[in-house]
This record gives sequence, structure tokens and C-alpha cells, in this order.
Amino acid sequence: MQTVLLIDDDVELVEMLKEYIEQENFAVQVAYDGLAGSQMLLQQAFDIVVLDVMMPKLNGIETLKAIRQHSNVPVIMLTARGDNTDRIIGLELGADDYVPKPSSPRELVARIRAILRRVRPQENINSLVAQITIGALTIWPAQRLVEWNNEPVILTSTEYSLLEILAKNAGQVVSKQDLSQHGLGRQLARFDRSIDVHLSSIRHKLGLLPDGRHCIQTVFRSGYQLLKS
Amino acid sequence: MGRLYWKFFIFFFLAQLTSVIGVGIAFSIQRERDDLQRERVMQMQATGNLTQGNLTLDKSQTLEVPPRQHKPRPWFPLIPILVGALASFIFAALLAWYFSKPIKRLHQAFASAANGNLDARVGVSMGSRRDELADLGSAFDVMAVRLGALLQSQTRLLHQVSHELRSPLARLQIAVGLARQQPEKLESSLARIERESERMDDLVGELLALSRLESGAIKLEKESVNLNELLTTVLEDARFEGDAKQISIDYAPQTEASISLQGQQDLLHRAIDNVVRNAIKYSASQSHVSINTSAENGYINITVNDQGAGVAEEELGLIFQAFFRGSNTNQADGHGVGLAIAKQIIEAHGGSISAKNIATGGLSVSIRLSNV
Repeated sequence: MQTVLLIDDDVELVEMLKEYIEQENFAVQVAYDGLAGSQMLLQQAFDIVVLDVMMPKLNGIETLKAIRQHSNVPVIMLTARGDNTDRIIGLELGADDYVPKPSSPRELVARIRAILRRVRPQENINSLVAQITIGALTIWPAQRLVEWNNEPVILTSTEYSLLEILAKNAGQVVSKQDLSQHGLGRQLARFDRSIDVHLSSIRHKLGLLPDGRHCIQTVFRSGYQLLKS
Repeated sequence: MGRLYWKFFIFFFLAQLTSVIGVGIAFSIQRERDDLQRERVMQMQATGNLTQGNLTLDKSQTLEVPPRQHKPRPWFPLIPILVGALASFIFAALLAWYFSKPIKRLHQAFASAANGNLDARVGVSMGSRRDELADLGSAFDVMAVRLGALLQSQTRLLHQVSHELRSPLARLQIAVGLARQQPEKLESSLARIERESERMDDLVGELLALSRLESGAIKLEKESVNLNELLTTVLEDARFEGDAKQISIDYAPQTEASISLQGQQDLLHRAIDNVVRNAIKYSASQSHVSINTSAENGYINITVNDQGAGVAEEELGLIFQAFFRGSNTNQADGHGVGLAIAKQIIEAHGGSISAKNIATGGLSVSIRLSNV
């Protein structure tokens, strides 16, 4: 059974959400503040973390920073509806996705499932593709590992998924809709900047090409492209 | 340069030009008259000499009267007036600039304030100026600062209200989700939904009360209120709540002549009730809350002490702000509006409310009301 860590200060909400997610066949543990949550992550491995942004003491953004220092566990942020700054900061700091709060718990569980599906793809499919090499970039889909110039690159699971899609279609333009559908497991919403934020973060983590360009290019109005050379 | 500058300039310049020309003409007329007089005197002296000379001098000798040098003295003294005009031109320009510049600055500041930028300040550009215009500038600055603070607090309040309304909404959404997921537990989900909607209703009611008090829309209906009776009714409700946490509430009614004050009974009840409930809420179970009253010099003091964790010193002034939650409190039930309402009510009655930490632990909230 896959394990979920819920970090939120609203005791009653957590209680109900736990019940809901447990009914969907997950094992749920809860923490009522960011500090306790990031410590639980140190002691125990979780498959996914659901993190509320608005919390007293250590808020969600700070908690995410603390988590990312030692773990690449997928994180879904619960952000206030309409608050774009929190979302973008969260994604930049390595959150995998966000769910507006308040929203239906069904939506949250759907996002949890989408992310977990990506992180644990079917083994047999991966074994077919041994490794992908494009220039200085090497990807091992089975281990979800990435190297640039033989140096390992640490990516979050969403970043990895997006890069893998681009690498499999190297040299071609992949639309944002496709990236969202296959990388985040959901339809691209209007005014959704998640893909751009994730890709800008990948660009920072990968090095530059010999000619000084980024290996991932934005193709205006159509999508993104991983350069083949 | 603005229109005002040119107006000032033209007025000053014309005024000075007129006075320069007037003074110039007056001077030249005066000088003309002096010259005439001097000439006449000289002529008279000359004729005097002549008659005397007639007696003493040879007749053949003729006295040459110097012909009156008729250097045409201009009636209009052009050069001095031109110099004066130039001087007044420069002076008028300076004076107009001196008056119109601060007004222009003020206008710019008002315009930027009207565009929503309350950061514009005028005081700095006034320099060391000390006059009514500088006063106007600093008055503008004070206004801008006050307005900015007010606007900020309103925005903050709105932000907090929306957040505070979101929490019950988020719980409602999950309760609905649970009801869908487990139809067999419909009853408990419905109870939750009911509870959350009641909570939202309470919050909206409290917010309305607070906003009415803050805007001063409530007109007090003052009557004579007996303090002992008031506190006794507050305690009846509070004991019920305290019993749940095994908190005892100590209050010894004053035996001396019962204290009474002027005020609106239900509002005062609400204010004191909020303070007492707040004390109970932040107290550990099995502790004491004590209420003391005293009267001195026309004032009544009501003090509510608890044995909770207290409030960080720097936050003592903030706890009467709506939605403020102390950093050393855990999640507590309630909306964070109670003490703000209490403060508004007490202040509407001309009193004051303050909080301090007790050395032995706990918070002490004092209400001070006028006896008359």
C-alpha cells in the first residue's frame, strides 16, 4: 500500500481528509506543522507528501525547502485558490503539483494517483528502453536517473518525467498540452504556468550546450524542444 | 512651468513694473521742479549782481548771463526704468517660482495619491522651508501615512477574512466528498456539513458586528448597568464552558455598595464574555480563571486572569486586532475576532482594554470603564 504524508495545521480537516484518502486505499500519516512533517520524512519513507501552504510556524514554502534539502519525494501543495505567487514559488522550489484549497478531495486523490503512476511506471516498459543519450544528456528510465556530462543531476519526479518526454521526442517540438497530459497527468488549465516553471527549473539544473544555448528551447506558442545535438 | 507660475510671474512683474515706472516718473518730476527752482534762484542772484554792478562797474561792461543750458532733460527717465524693469523681471520670476514650486509638488503628490500611490511625500522637497505651504506639505504627508496604514489594514483584514472563510469551506468540501465516498456514513457527514455551515454563519455574524462597531454605526443605548449582575450572568454561561475543561472560575462579588455604570447592557455583556471565554480557551484544563473588580476615582477596573501560556511581550498589543493569533498558541477553535470586538465595545463606551503577562504565568486582561 502506498503511503501518504499529510501536513496541515487544520486538525479537523486533516482528520476528514485522512479518512477520505484511506478509503481510496492509501496508508495515511499526518503531521500538524511543517517542522513535525519534515522530521517524519527523515525517519520514514513516504511515497508522496500533501503539504498545506498556509500554516503557522514553519509555513508550507519553508517546509518544502526543508524537505527538498534531503529528499526528492513527490510533493503536492495545497494552495489558496487564486494565489498564483504561492503556486509558482512552490513549483520553483520543487513541488510536483498543486491543488487549490478548497476543492473536492476527489481532485486531490486524482492528482496523487497521477503523480504516483508516473513515479512508478510499469517495469516491463522501462526495461525495453535501456538508456537514452542525447549529447551530454544521459537518461536511464528504469532508475529514473539523469546525468549531464557524466555528472548526476538531481531532479524532482515531475521534472524527471517532463525531461523524459522531451528526450524521447528529442529534436521535435512537444506541445505544452502533451507535456501536461503525460508529465503531470492532467489537462493543461488556462493560464497554467506549471510547465514553464518546471522546465525553467530543469534548465537551471542542466548545463549549457558548447555554443552557450540551453539544450531545452522554448518554441513560441507551440511548446518545448530538446535540441538533438 | 505651470499656469500658476505665469500668473504669479505676470502679477509680480506688472506690480513691480508699475511701481518702478511710477517712482521713476515721480522722481523725474521732482528733479525737474528742483532744477527750475535752482535756475530761478541763480537768475535772481545774477540780476542782483547786475544792479549792484551797475552801481559800481563800468557801464560798458556788460554782464554775460550764461544762457540757460537747455540740455533736454527727458521727461521719462528711460535708463533707470529699464534697469528697474530688468530687476523686477528677475525678481518676479524668482518669487513666482518660490510660490508655485511647492504648490506644483503638492499637486503632483495629490495626483499620484489619486492614482493609488500613497508613497509620495512632499515634506522632503520642502527643504528647510517654514511657512504655511510647508505646513500644508507635512499635513499631506501625515494624511498619506494614515491613509496608507488604514488601507493596508483593510486589505489585511479582507485577506484574513477570505482565508478564515476558506477553512470551513475546505472542510465542507471534504465532508461532501466523504458523503459521496461512503454513503453509509451519510449521517455523520451531514452533521459535519451542518457544523461547518453554522461555523461560517457565526464568523460572518461576528464580522458584521465588528465592522458595525468599527464604523461607529452602532448608537449606544445607555442605561444604568449593575456590574455584579452583569458579571454574574456572564459567569453563568462561562462556567458551563469552563466545566468541560474542568476550569474553575473565581469571582467574588464586591460586598460594598454595588457598582453601577452607564452603558449598553448587551454589548458590555458581549465584551466581558469574549474576554472570559478567551481566557478559558487558552487555559490548560484543570486550571483557574479569576475575575476581579475594583472601583477608584470614578473608574471601574475589571481584570480577568488566566493560567495559560500568556502572550509573547511584543505581541501584547496585537492580540486585540482581528484575526491575530499569538505565536505560542496552538490551533484553537474560534475565529480570532472576539477580543477585537471586546476592544471596540469598550472603546465605544469611552473605556480602555489592555493585556499583560502575569509573572507567575498566564495572561491578565484589564478593562477600565468610566463610572459615570
